Amino acid sequence: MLRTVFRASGAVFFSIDRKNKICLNDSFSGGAVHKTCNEDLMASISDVLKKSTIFNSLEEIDFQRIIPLFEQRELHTGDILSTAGNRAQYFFILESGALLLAMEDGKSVVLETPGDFIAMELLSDRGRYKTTMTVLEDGMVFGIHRLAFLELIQEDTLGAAAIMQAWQGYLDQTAPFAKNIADIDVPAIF
Amino acid sequence: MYGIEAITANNGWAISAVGITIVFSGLVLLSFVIAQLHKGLDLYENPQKIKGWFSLKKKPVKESDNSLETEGILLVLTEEQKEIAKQFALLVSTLEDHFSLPRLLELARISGVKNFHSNLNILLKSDILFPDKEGFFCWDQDLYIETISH
Amino acid sequence: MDTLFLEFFQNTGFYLCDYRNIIMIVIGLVFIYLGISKDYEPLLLVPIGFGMLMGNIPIFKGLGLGIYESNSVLHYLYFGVTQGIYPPLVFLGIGAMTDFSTLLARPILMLLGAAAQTGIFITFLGALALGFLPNEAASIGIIGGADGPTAIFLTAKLAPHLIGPIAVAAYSYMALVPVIQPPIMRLLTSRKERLIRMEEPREVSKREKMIFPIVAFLLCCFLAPAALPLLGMLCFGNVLKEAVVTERLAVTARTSIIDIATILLGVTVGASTQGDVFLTSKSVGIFILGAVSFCIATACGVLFAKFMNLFLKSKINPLLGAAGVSAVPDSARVVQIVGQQEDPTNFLLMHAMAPNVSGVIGSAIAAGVLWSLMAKAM
Repeated sequence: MLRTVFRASGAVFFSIDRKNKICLNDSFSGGAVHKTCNEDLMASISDVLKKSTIFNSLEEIDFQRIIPLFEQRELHTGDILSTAGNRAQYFFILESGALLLAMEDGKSVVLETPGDFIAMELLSDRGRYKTTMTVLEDGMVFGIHRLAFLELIQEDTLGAAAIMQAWQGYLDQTAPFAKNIADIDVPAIF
Repeated sequence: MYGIEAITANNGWAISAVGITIVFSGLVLLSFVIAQLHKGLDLYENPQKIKGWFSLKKKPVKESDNSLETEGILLVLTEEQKEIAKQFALLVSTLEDHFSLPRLLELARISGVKNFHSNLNILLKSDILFPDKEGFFCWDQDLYIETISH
Repeated sequence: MDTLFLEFFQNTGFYLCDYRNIIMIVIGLVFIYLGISKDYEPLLLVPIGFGMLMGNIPIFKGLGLGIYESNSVLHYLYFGVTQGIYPPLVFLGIGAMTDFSTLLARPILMLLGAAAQTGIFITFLGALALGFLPNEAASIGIIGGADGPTAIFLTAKLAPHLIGPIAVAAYSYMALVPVIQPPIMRLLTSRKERLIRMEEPREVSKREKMIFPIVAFLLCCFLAPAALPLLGMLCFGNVLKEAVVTERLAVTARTSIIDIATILLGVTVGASTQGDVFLTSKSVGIFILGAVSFCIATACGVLFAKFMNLFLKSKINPLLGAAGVSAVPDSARVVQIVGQQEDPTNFLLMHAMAPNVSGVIGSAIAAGVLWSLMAKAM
């Protein structure tokens, strides 16, 4: 009883396996992909993460661990960032611009706030994109490899719990119709 | 002595029943008190709310959840954009009150609307197109008329 | 000279040893191995394991060495167990490190902690049925509360001769929570139920967190005064934590005090498990009933959550009922893991902490109730 109470009060940060750091051999949807090497880029990613309601409650050490996982991509009006049915490789966080997320049954949501996170129920289902994302306005996104993110949130840490809790609130506000509710017979495993 | 006989002889049934009842009652009472605690503290910190109970109820104003502003600030469209907005208005008239935005986008593409992505975005920013929170979108005819007449 | 050597040899452990000492020493070594090598509750198993080694060194009685000899050092240290001093000190530390905000955000989850304590009373009946005396049965039943200090506290009051097996059973099963609970949780819930997402909890103010331990203490101790030593210290520790001005005392409570109490509690409980006391048919019965108690407590928590869902608009994931077993935070973690096996993005840990900590309060109340009922009966 005691050790685990001590552990729970002490553990804050993620432990990220080195092998999950993406080395940018795979691009996403053919757009311009930039390495996450230079400091300005890291600063941009850090700014967006801190603006995002999903990530802004993380500790600094968590930011330092997850920033290198993101890759930048420019958005041009009319670009298709994901096509429903294709293999889901990335989740995205919006830095600028506007995206139309077209889901099944004609439903959709438009995201245009810096820090908007497009992931999980909004984007994929069992390893396939379920949303077609179209760029409505030029801008920039940062992508994180889907598996790396899923591994992050499955860590038994306070940071992972904070992300998931924030995600639920964000989804309630942004697209409650996309929520994975208990009525649905087959759950979406993202 | 073993079995049910032993339980009965040692008053086991009564002890268990009383014990479970007391534990449950204690925690039920505690949970009820805690559930009211934050309301009581809120009243203590905001005593004007008590006065509010006795005044006439006002219908709360719906907050705009849009970054683009509200009263009197309309997005100014160019003539070309106004023309395109009219094309969108025509397309919307063929759809239901709550329509699919991707469907509208597709119709715009098929109909040859110029720069349909950016122009759709402009209509969204101006709140002429707005979400219904159920995954569909609506068209604000009054705002559209006001916008194109400026 | 030969006589001297012979006399000396007859006083050594090698001569005085019997098979029961060997068995207990092996068990002690296993505990130490599990604690150090496998990281199973090391803060408990290592002191208990080493205490078992100390308590089972064959000694010549009368020299004031054994824990049951009135003039021995171990006996003086054991005083803290028999007089119920160490468990309240442990609870002081636990209160000083526990955050009750998840409980305050959704108080209804407290009832899951209450439901899980039903296992204590059902096991009490089972122990009576197996021929244990009422005070022994109460001490065995409290194992189902999954709270080591509470189990030791109550046993010290009601059945001190059973402290050894009950403490060993309680801590062993607490370490085995990740093994015992999941099959029961899966058996009693459907897939659809396990996928239920919990509503986001509300923000809890600092003031609420400060007032709660005082209100909880007054309410629970007025209802069950015998819970005073444990609940009083738990709530006091929490007050020290939440009232920032006493942060220094809170730090001492959750570090030095709890560590000292844990060391002395563990080593003396371990030393009390001497072969002739521990290796009896009663101990076997205690171990079996302890396992049953855990299982029933888990089942009761889960089933009560399902029952509550019949009346609630905003459903509770019934897996949270298993967290009512107050092995903090292991059972909450088990709920998280089982929930994520169905849906990797369903985060139940924070929600599960609410019934988990309410289970601590519930088991302390249950111990108080049993003590007062048994004291009247004795």
